[in-house]
Amino acid sequence: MTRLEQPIAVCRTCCEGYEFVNRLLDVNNLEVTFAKRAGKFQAVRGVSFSLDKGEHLGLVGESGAGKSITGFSIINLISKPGYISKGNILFEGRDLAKLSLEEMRRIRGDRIAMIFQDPMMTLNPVLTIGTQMIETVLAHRRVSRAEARDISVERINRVRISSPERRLKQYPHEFSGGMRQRIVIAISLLTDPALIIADEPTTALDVTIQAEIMELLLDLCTSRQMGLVLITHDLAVVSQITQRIAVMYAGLIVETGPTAEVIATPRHPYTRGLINALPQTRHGEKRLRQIPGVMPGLRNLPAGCAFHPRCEQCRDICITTQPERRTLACGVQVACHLVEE
Amino acid sequence: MLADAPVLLQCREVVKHFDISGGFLDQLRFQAGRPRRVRTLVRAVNGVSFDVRQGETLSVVGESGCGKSTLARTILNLYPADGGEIRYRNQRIDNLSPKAMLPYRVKMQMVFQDPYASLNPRMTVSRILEEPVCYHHPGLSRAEVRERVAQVMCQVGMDPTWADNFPHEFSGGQRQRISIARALVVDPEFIVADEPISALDVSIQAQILNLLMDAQETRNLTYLFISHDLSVVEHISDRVAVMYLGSLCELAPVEQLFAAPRHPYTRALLSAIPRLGAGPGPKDRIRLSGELPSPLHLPSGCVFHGRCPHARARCRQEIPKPVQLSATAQVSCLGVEEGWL
Repeated sequence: MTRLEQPIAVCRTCCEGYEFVNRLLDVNNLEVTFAKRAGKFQAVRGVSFSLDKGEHLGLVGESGAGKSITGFSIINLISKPGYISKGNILFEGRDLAKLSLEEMRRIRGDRIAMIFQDPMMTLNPVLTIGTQMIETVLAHRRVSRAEARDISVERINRVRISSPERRLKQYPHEFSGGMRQRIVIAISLLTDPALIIADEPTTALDVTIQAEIMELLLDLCTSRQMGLVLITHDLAVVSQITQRIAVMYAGLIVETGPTAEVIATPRHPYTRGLINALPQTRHGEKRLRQIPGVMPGLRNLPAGCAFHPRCEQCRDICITTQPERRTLACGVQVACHLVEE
Repeated sequence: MLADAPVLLQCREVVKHFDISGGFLDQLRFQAGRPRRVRTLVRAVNGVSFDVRQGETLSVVGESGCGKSTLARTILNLYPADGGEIRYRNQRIDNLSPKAMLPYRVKMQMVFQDPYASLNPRMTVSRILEEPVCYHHPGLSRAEVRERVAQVMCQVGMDPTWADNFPHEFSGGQRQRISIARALVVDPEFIVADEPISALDVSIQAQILNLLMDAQETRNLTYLFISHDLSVVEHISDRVAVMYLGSLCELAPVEQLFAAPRHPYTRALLSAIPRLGAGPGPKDRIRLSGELPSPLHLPSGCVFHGRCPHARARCRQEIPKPVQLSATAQVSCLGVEEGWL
C-alpha cells in the first residue's frame, strides 16, 4: 500500500484548514456538460464535496438532479456526448479528471469500485460468477489463477454467502436479486478498494433484502475503513448509514452537512420539502406536504436559484441571483438566500 | 366507523394459478420408463379471503412475487380466478362473461404502476380520457363527454388546454395524473391502484397521494391499494393486508398492525422499514433466515415456516386457517391460534 502513503496534493484555495492525512476524495467545482446537436447543457453545474477515509457520504436527490452523473464522473464513466468540462477530482494525490484512459482503467475497479442499481445488468449472464470474479482479480493483480480463485472464495465468504466454492460455478440467473447484489458487492471488494460508489444499490430490491444489503455494506465499509458514496433517492436509507449527506437539485448541491443535523433541521427549502413530503414525518396529519411543480429540465433552467419556481418563500433576489454556498457554524453548507448565519 | 360500513367487495378463498408448462411435448416427462404428462403451476394466489368495506382504503403489502398484483387483477376479472368466489355488492362477479362484466367495469377501475406503459403513446390525452366515457355511456353527446373530461382533468390538477398533447410530452407525475383521470372519468365506486406511486420521485409521490386522498373524499371512493412501500401504506390506509407467497398472513386496522403486529412475517417486514433519523447502525431488526421459496414449489403447511423463527412441528404440516381477532382483524398463524405467540 505504498501508494496511500504518497503526499496528497493540496488545493489551497478551497481546502484550507482541513487535515489532509485523512482526506480520500476531493471534488472541486465539478461541471459535466453534454454537447448535443440541439446545444450544450450542463447536467452537473459546479459540485464540490469531499470524503475522508472510511467516511460514508449520501448523495440524495430526485431523478434528473445529477446525482448519478456526479457519481459516474468520479471514475470518468461519462460517455459521449458528455464530458467533464470543469473542476478537478483529487483522489490519492491525483486528479482523476485529467488521467488518460489507461491510467483511469487501473484505478477503476481497483482503488475505486462501483456498485450499480440492477445486479442483473451488471453481471454477465453467460459467464459463471467464478469466471467474472477471477477475471477481475487477474486484470488488476499479478497473481495466479489459483490465488485469484482463493481471493474470490474469501470475498464471497465476506458477503455472507454459504458454500462459496459451489457459487463460483453458478450463473447469475441461479441467484435471487438480493444474492446477486451480494455477489456484485463481493466483486467490488476483490481488490480491497479505498472507495466504493454505490448507485441506488437497493432500489430494485424488497425492503427486507434492502435492510440486509445495507447492513452488510455498512459493516464491510466500517471494518475495512472504506469510503462510501451512496447515491440514492431514499432519505431514510441515507439517514441510517451515512455520516454526511449532500442534497442535490438541478445539478447543484443545495445543502450538505452531518446527516443527523441536516435531517433534524433541514435549512434549504428543498431539503425541508423533501423531508416533509415523506409520509412517515406526518404524524396524525392526513394530507402530505407536497412540493408544488416538478424539477425544471436541465436545458431550460430558471434564472437565479433553480428552485425558486417551486419555493414557497421565494423573494425577488432568488429570481435574479444564484445563491452562493455558505458554511454555517454547525458545519452545514447551504445554498439559499434566505438562510441566516 | 368502518366496522359498520356495508361490505362492497368480498373475496372467499380466491385462487389463481398460472400454467407455465408450455406445449404438450414440453409437458412430457419420463418416469420409470413411461411417458407422463406433468404440469408446472405457478401458485400465485392460494385461498385468499377478505372483505373490503365501502369508503375504506385497504392496502395489500408484501414483497415482490407474493401475488399482490395477481390478486388485484383477479379481483377485477382481468385474470379469470381458478377457484373461490368474488362478490361485488353481494353479486358474484368472478364467473361473469366479459359482456356481463361490463356494468361492473364502470364501477371498478384500475390505476397501473407504470404511467409510461399504461398510456397509449399514439393517443392524445383527450382521446385517452374520452374513450372510456364514450364506451360506457354511448348516449352522451360529444359536448357532454368533453365537459366531463375537462371537469375530471381539473380535478386531478391538469390544465384542460393540455388535452391535445400526447403522453410523451408529460412528466411521470403528470402521466400518473392522466391514468388516475382515466379511472375517475367513468365515475367509479371502487379503484384498484397497483403500485401507483412507486415509479415516481418523492416530492411527486406526495402530490399523487394527496390527489388520491382528495378524490376519495369528494367522490366517496373505496380503494384497494397495492404497494410495497410500508410507510406510504401506513399513511394512506384504513386497513392493511400482508401477503406472503400467495397467502394472506395478517389483516388488521392500520394502527393495530403497525403498533402490535401478530404474525411473525409482519413483525419481520415492519422491522425492516428504514426510518428517517433512526441513526446509523443495525437496529433490533428481525432477521429472516433463508430465501423466499418459489411459488412453483410451495412449502407444505404454513408457507412461512421455513423462515419463521418460531416454527414448530405442526407449522410444517398444517396450513393455518385465518383466526378472527376482531371484526376487522384476522391473522393466519398456528402460533396465534394456539396462543404461544
